Amino acid sequence: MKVRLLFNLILTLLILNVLVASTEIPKLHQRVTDFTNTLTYQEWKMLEKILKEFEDSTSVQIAVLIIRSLERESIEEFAYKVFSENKIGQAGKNNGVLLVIARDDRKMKIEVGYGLEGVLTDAIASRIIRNEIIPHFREDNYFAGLVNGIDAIMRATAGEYRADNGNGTTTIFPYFLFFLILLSVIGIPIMAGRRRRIIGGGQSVYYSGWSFGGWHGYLGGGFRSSGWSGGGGFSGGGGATGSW
Amino acid sequence: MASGARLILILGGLLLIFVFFSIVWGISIYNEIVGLDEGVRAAWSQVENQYQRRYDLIPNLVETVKGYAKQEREVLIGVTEARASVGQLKVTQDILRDPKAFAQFQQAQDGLGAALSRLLVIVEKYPELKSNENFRDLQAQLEGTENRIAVARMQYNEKVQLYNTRIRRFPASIIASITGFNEVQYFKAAQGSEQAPRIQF
Repeated sequence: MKVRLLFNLILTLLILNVLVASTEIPKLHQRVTDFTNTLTYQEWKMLEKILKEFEDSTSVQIAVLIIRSLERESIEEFAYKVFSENKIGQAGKNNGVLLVIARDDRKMKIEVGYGLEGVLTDAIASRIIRNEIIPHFREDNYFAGLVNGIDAIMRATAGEYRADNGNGTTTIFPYFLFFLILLSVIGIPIMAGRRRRIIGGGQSVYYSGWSFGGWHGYLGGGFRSSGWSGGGGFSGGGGATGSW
Repeated sequence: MASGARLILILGGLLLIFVFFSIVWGISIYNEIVGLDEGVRAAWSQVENQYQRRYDLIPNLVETVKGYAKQEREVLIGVTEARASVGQLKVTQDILRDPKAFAQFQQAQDGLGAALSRLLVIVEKYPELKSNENFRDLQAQLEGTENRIAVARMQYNEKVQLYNTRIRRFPASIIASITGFNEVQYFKAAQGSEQAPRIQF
């Protein structure tokens, strides 16, 4: 019992530490960084996988950052700083995209690197936010919003996104659904075992646990060693914002 | 006699060496200043590009708003007039070193920014306009452009700071004044322009 109390205390301190850190400009070590524990482990892992595969095949870097709340800055300022601090996108190509979500402020921004401004224009970025992401965010389904939004961004960077017909999302979604099922079949038993063994506590504690674990790379998985970082890209402040 | 000639020779030699190294030093400082000046110019052309982008967006935006909100004549005319006064500006690299012309440039651009944010405020009264996809695209482009302007201005100011610091600091300041590099103007933070017009939808 004592051990458990101590463990919870340490855990709380670590979480607090992460919260404090999130008010500064975070250094991204993963493609998907969630300070809010909004995503489950499976969801996070899936997004990482999708983005990794996309980066491997196209060299376009897409990163996601979810924070609780902005301090004094506007979302535009914050997104620009995070983008330039982490240099998302390949050097020379500047083909990076950053999604910043300030969950409790209900604001988001898609920050687009110089090299993608031609295909992922402000208008397209705005349409993606309006039509693909926000409808899901309004229903508190952040994962679905992100999957749809990332999918649309990936198609836009390939010059394929047509926001006006809006049917692209339905054709691609089963693919993600398939992954979700696959991951839950394989992932949940493993994670459940891990949870019992390590914490043996409630769901929320567990989720907090993986979040800082994911961030600092304590918790295993194939992503810890990936050591992802931006490739040296620049942004000129292009993209779009939205709120819900 | 022989020793006097030798002294002169030594002094002359030292002088020559001194002059030689001064010239080498001067050239390297000069090149450095040229590099910084290039940085300022590049950053300035980004600023100009983004302002031009906004300038080009406006006719389309005004037309679209007119279609739904004709009665908002005052605001629409305000935007058109502010745009016209930006159009009248003669913008060359010279204005960077001309405090008066630079202030004029900034004033006109900030005035246009303010007129545009007024336009986006009145739009709130027209739900039909707000839900028009074409308008939403234009609005997104405008917001994106305002943000790019803010970024370009910030980057410009950073480059100017590097340059100005270099040319004012002794002894590089000697080289700068000989070669005619003088101070460049900063953008001053102004109300209305630093803040991109933000509209909830």
